[in-house]
Amino acid sequence: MYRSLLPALALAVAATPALAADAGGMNPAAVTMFVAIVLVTLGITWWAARRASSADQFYAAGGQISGFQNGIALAGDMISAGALLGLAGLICASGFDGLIFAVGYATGLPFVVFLVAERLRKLGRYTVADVLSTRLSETPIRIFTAVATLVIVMFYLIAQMVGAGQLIRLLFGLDYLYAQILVGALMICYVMFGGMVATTWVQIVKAVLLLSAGIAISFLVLASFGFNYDSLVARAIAVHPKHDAIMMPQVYSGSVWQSVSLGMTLMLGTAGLPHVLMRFFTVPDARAARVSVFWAVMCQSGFFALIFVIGFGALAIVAGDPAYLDAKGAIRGGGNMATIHLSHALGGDTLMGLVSAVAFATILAVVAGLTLTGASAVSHDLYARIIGRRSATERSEIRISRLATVGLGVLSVLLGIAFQTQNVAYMISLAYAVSCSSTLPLLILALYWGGLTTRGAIAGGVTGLVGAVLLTVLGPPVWVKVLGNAAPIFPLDPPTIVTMPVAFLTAFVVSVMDRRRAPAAALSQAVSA
Amino acid sequence: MSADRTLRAPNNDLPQARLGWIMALIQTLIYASFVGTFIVSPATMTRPVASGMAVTVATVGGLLVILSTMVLTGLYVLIANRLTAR
Repeated sequence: MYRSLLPALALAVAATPALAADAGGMNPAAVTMFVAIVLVTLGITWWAARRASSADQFYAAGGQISGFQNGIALAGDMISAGALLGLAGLICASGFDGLIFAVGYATGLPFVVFLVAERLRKLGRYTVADVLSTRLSETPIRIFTAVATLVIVMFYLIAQMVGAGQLIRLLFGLDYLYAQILVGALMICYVMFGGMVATTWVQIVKAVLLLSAGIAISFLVLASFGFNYDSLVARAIAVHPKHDAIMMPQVYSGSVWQSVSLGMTLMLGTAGLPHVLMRFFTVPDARAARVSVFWAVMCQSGFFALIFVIGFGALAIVAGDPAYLDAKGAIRGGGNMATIHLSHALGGDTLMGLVSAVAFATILAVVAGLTLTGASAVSHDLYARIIGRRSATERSEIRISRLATVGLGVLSVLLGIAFQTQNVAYMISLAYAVSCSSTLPLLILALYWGGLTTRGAIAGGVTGLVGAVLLTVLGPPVWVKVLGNAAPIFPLDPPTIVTMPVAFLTAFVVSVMDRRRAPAAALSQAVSA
Repeated sequence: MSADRTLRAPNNDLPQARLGWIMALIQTLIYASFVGTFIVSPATMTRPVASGMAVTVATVGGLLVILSTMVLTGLYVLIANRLTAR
């Protein structure tokens, strides 16, 4: 779901200065739904808290989430507020671009089921590092994996928090600062008291709401065009000032390498995201892991298909109606509001209130999942297995995980406030690039290549991580858009097409050299099939 | 790094391992042909599916790529469940 924020955040952030005067008013349906969602999710947390007493419950819901339930939660992880609001906004602004992201993101999850899900479940307990350390030397690999996880989670979390603050201010007229504190407090509460059980159920509630809202909006859009998709698209093309040109995506107007690099990142990024991978430890066995990704793909791909209707619907209905435009002809409140205005046009204040509240639930569920993943890296990988290896008990590990949850929660609120006026769109690019160039190569090699050594894994992972961060900073997202330089030093955004092969190659070469120096002493089977 | 345990790749011999790679390859080819056609021949992708229509080849193509993710995943789960049931 997270990948969907890339365009959304860019829009949310770009829209910020124009918004202040336009902060949304209170709407009774929105407030009712908003309060209902907070009460229901806190109820879930209270119920889960009575069960979340062991480490197994906290990290992996005791392995007792069914394949179907986990699939819905996983779909919830994949489709964010960015997918509902950001992609439609992007289609309003520049047409087919939004659909390029929808198609690319949809291809990510199948890779997870084809190549990693079952093996992860078979080998791991709570975190990705558990899987890698079944074959490699534990201490260095855990430190590296925990650092990579925290890097991805923190960048993602900051981007989510900034987007969330701006969205909540727009939707409910709540001050940015209070929005940050509210989101932070709720997410700490879910994770700290309810662990993985509560996080999963919050994600399930949100996914069901989001899918229902998506289906309802799509149905109403199609109904208003006599269930003729072609006349919907024709109207969208007529409304946009560039007309036919919107059917050619702008993201493909750059170099071939640029287009290929973006395609690779959208397709492969998902398989290295730690909060997605962690979901596979909540199901009872490898078969359930496989089944869960099946349901997740059905929901997620179905939702991205709906974007083809919702996006063009927003363009055709909202962008063509002066009531939803500001003096300059732009969408009131910015591109992220396109879906919200669309729901108002289709179903009045009631539907608008419902959709706003669903967007809020989406943000909460996503930040909770990220915080849990970050907290697990600290308490399980760094504390229980390294720092406190000799002294840690299950009790102390859970205490540390709760402290880490509060720490990460407070930190993300502070960073959310610090980055309020910054362009944070690059942070999602960065999380994706690091995922593709660091965690994914390590995982694939560890699962499928017996020759990988610890030194090779660390060398490849570090090269990918540092390369992805460095080239993103020197590339268009930071060097030009944040630092204001005229031309980027490195031209591609994202840098995946360079950094991913380099990471694979480094891991391979170093492993081969390593083994030549010290030939394998013992060969044995890690897991009997 | 004496603690290195050099092991054979785990699970490589599971029957569905090969199936997974085949499916991943098919998915890559489908998605690459979508992106590739846009790069090589944008005019093909922006052409209407039938004369007089607004819906373009790329719109239908994009929906088909999304559909392919569902079909391939469904096939994979179906076959892998059979293979591991034995």
